[in-house]
Amino acid sequence: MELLSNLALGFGVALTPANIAYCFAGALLGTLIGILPGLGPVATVAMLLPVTYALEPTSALIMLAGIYYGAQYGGSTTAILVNLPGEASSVVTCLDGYQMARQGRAGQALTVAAIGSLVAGCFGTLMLAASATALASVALSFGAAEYFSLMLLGLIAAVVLASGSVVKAIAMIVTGVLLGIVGTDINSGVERYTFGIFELSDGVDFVVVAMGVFGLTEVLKNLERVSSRDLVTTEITSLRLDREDVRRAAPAIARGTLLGSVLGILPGGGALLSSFAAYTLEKRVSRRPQEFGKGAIEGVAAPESANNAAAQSSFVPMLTLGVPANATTALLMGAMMIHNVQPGPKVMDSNPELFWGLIASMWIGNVILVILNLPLIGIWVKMLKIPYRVLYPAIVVFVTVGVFSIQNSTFLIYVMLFFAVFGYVLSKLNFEAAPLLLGFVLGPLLESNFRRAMLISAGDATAFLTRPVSAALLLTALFLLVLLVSPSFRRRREEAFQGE
Amino acid sequence: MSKLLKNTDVLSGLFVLAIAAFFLIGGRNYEIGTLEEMGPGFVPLLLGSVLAALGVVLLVQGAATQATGLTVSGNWAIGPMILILGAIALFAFTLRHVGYVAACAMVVAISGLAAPDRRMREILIEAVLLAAISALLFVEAIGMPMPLFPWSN
Repeated sequence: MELLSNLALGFGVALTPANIAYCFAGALLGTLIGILPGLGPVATVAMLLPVTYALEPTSALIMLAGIYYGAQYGGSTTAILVNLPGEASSVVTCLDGYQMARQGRAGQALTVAAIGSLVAGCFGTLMLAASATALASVALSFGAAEYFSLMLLGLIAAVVLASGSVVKAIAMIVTGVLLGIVGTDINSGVERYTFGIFELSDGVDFVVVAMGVFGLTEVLKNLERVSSRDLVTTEITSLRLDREDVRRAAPAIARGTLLGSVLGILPGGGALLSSFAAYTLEKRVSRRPQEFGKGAIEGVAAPESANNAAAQSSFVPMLTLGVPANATTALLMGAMMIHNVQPGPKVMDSNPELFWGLIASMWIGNVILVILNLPLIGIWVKMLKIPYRVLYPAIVVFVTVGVFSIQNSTFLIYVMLFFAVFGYVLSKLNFEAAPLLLGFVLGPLLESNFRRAMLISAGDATAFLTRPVSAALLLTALFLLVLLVSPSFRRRREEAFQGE
Repeated sequence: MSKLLKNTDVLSGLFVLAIAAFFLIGGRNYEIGTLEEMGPGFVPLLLGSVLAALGVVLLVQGAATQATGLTVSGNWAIGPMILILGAIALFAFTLRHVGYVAACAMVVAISGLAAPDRRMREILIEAVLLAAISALLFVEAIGMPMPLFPWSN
């Protein structure tokens, strides 16, 4: 019953006209940029973060969350219509969604994606609300040692569940933590790695890193060759599903939603992993597995539901424990800290309006998304036709002005240029940028909890292992690492990310 | 040898070692402190060493698979990188002197050249339009403190 009163409080905040407007603006901007080629959700959120600096914290977060799921959703639209996943988690949607579109069933694919996302979003948010209080009350008893171990576990799990080389991903985390050290050490007041540059004494703003490593690097990668997009030329005739579609899609949506809600809580590729898992599951339980890859409606319904449910439930670890599960929630966590809200178990008590308002706004946002997407699909299709060569100069301007606006100084623009080159070299060497950002955002917390824990234990490093909760968390992390070394698990992991 | 230097893992290892070296050398004068009371240099030293070790692992991995390992793909967007990043640097450098409108038009015009399928007329039109619209949005509407023209403020 406490849940109900909390949600009532949340809706009270989220349903004020101003906050509905911010939620709408966020969902709209997110969809808009998510549909445009070459910008994933991370870059979109990073680009629009400075816009929200002036808002009060609750409105800012409601808008940012709207941008996040809007961009996620926009990625599905491009997956179906142009066979281009806006981001990794809609790769699977391409398989059957694009085939449906080629068969003249683009409208049905879009509808089932929208309904699946709505159902999943509502359920995922409910999961978030229900588990938040319980998780936070556990975390409230945590000391510095437990926090350190929890963050370490979160980072390791993010590596295990992400695709690509594990050694490289860990190297990226460590690099991220080291970059997070730049600035004034809070314990001693010593400036580290600032080289006497005054602007660096507060550290490097995480938006600058994200804009360089995600925004500009993506632009450079896209310019390596002429972009060609195969837009489905057939008009979208009807959005209506027939009885057969509903009969096949409904159970797929239910399964995808459940799978996504659970997997989304896990750090790392929550949305990515869950969409792959949902697709594989559907193919396995289907009586017509041969239709998958040739336009099966379940192949759109399940992964779309799964990745949206996961997008909602990936807020759980960030909001309740202060440990972001992926790059986007890391950005949102950074945004909260800019507004002087420290994410973690105390947020619920110290900022109940913000916490429950944000959760309630996700329901509203999911409804807004369906309204935005289905009736207005004609407009989005037109936007898909904008060639990349016209688009990217505008991205460049927006990114540059956005970074300028953080401190109204040109210094950060030069820092961003450094990170653009850095990010581009990393991407050419097959490093993933997401663990870098996770390490960067968590770095200062990791260091201060580590040092505090060591101070409390009088320099005894075994304290991390003698405190039971901390030991359990560290052992889980170790177990995950051992799993990675085992050949059979490695093979499975590779298969899971191959995606057919 | 040249093949070794094209191996992604070898290059990655060298890159990671370079980052580690930067943090280890840059932080060599920070006080380490004791395990109980760590100085500002403790964590950089610890993580710098971990990073260096990871770099060595990558290097060895790459050397072991040099025949079969991935090689770095040839297409580097060096031209676009110089044009776009140069345009942004020019913006930052000249903003105070020539004003936002001119600096923005310059960014669009120069970075627009980076597209393999560029069209000059399109770029010019876009430069004028984007400069005008974004000036209205950022400076007039949002009120960001940038001079619009050289003779402003």
